[in-house]
Order: sequence, then C-alpha cells, then structure tokens
Amino acid sequence: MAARFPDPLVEQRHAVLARYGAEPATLPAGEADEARWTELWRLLKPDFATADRTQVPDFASLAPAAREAARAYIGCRIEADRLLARCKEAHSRLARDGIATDAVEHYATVRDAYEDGVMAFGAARERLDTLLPKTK
Amino acid sequence: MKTYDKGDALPDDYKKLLLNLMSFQADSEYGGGQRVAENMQYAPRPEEAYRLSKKVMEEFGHAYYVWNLMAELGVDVNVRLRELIAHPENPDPKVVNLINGFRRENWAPNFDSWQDVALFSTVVTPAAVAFLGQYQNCSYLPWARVNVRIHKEEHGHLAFGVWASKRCIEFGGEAMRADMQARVPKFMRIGLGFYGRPSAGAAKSQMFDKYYEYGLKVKKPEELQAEYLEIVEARLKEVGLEMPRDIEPDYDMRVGYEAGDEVSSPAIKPAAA
Repeated sequence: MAARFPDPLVEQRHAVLARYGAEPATLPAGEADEARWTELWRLLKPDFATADRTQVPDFASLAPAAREAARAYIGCRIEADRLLARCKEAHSRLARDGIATDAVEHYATVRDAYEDGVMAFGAARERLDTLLPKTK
Repeated sequence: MKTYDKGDALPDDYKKLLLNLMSFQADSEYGGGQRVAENMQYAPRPEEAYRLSKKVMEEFGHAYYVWNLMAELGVDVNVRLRELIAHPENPDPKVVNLINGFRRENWAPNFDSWQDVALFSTVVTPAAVAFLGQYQNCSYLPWARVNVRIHKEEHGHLAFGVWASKRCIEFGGEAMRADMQARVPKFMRIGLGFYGRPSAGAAKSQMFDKYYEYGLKVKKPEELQAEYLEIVEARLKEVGLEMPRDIEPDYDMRVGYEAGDEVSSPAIKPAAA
C-alpha cells in the first residue's frame, strides 16, 4: 500500500501530484515502452508551455536529444515521488510513536533527500527547456 | 545577557515566557505547513506542485525541531501534534498556540490563485526570515541553535517565492505582472504587521519589554521592520515588481509569534516516577 500522510488534509491536498502521474512510482520498462513514456510526458509537458512556447511537442515528435532529456526529467519526477513516500513514512512514525530526537533527525534526513530530489527535477526541467523549440 | 543551556535550571517566569514563544513557533510552523499544503490546489504545473510540497515538508520539520526541545523541558508535545492533525482547520486554542494568520479562516481569503501563493513567499516570508532570525541570538541556547538550522532553511523559502513569481510572469507575460503588482499591497500589510506593535508609544506591546529583558527577543519591532523592508524591496525588484509605499501594517493578523499579550502555559508532563 502506498505511503500516506497521517494528516487527512495534507494527504488530500497532495493528490494534486497525481495530475502529473505520481504513483505508482515506476519507470517505464526501457526505451521501448513508448506508450508509457508518451503518457508520462503528456502529463508533464505543461511545465514547458511558456508565453513564448505555446505548443509543446508530443513525445513522438521530440528530437533525439530532447527525448533523452525528457526521459531524464520524467525519471527525476518518479524519484521525487519515491523520496516523498519516505517523508510520509517518517512523518507517520512521529505521529504514531511520538516526537523523539532520533525520529526527528530521521525525518530531517529524508526530508533533505526529498528536497534534493525536487531540486534535481527542476534542474532536469531547465536542461530540457533549452532543447525544446520556441513557437514565438 | 544571561544565557541558559540544556539542563540549566530556568527561572519560572523565564521558562513560562520561553515556552510561550517556542510553542507559538512550533505549533505555527506545523499549522503553517498545513496551510501551505492547502495551497497545492493552486499549483498550475508539476514543478510548482513539487516545490510547494517540499515547502510543506520543511515547515513540518521546523515544528519537530522546536517541539523536540519543548519535550526536553517537560512539555507534552504529542498532544499538540495530535490536535493539529485531528483539527487542522480549527485547532483548540487551549491545546495549541497557532497564530491568527495561520488559522484557516484568516488564511484562506488571501488566496485565490497561484500568483497569491508566489507572492506570499516573496512578500510575507521575508518577514518570517527576519523575525525568526533574531532567535538565533536568543538567551536560551538550544533554541538559538535550532533556529540557526531553521533560518538556513527559511532562506530556501525566499528563493521559492522569487522563483515562483518569475515563473508566473514567464508564463503569463505582462498582463500577469500587472495582476501581481496589484496583489502586492495585501501581502505587505501582513508582512509589516508581523513583528507586533511598536516597542514604544501608546500602542506598544505590553509583553515586549519582558521578552527583550530576558533576551528571548533581541531586536525591536522597528529594527525588524526596517530589515524586512530592505529584503522585500530587493526581492520585488528581482521579480520585476515595485514595492508600494505608505502601506499600513495589519497587526490583527498576528502572523508574528508574539501574537498578543496573553501568555499561555503549555502543559508540563508529570515527572516520571
């Protein structure tokens, strides 16, 4: 079963991540799984629809370098989801077992990792952004 | 300034005031994290959603740091976490010290779009960074050390606000910039009111002198406000927005941790037999 926040409100609001394909957090089975890459890209490509790029290509239309960068970007998102699940587990442990130094430090460690994962997702987005054509 | 470290005996009055401030910080960090989570509904793109989620996790972490110190001082902090989880929208003020600004009824009306979320971090968060920054030099050393850690992380929140605001304009163009400029004053009122009423004059806070005397607050509201204005002006300039002048502070939002003059006494757990 997927990790959940102990707070129903926080869990409910994190459902927004599902819009972008969060969970099940698995990478497509290799480059040949074109349908899965296409679907994951469809969910994430609004991240690139800036004022000067109103049309973002579908996965099949990406140039080879952009396609590779898109795979890396999608991979970062999936990794961020995995790290978020660890945060949820650490958070749940604090709510269940009580606040204690080791549990607080464990939470800080996994939260730092999630933070790094999210920033890596952003860096992958910036790399990919340079490879996508502008439409204006 | 007399300082105290872990294990030192604390004078009763000092401990009461210390725990009042610590409980406001910890409870409000957690409640603030819940409010930030609510704002995920406005995230327009994946990266925005993940970065806001990261912020939620950080706010919770700050609460845990401070609650952990309060536990060492004998406070039953688990009851506070349980209350906030069970009643996120309206936690019992007898159990937790949540600042008014983080009560849902006061928070939610300030937000109707992602640009509000971006601007809150750009315009109000600098007030938190300046305010909490003073606790790094307070007289209770374990709390000072935790706030060094928190302060470092709060700087990441400043970066989030500027990043998110710039992205709004990148996607929405000049029409978005104008829309955001019109929203700046409502957040500046909150930011300016963050520090509480002035330290002198008829409207002065009744409690400030005691906090200051004990070294629990080390800067006067006027100093913090000046520090805030310097930061927020630089941040708005970075985004390409102007800082409005002659904005009146909103003290009633009490986003600052003083939150009025009443001092509560967090429940102390009975000593173990």
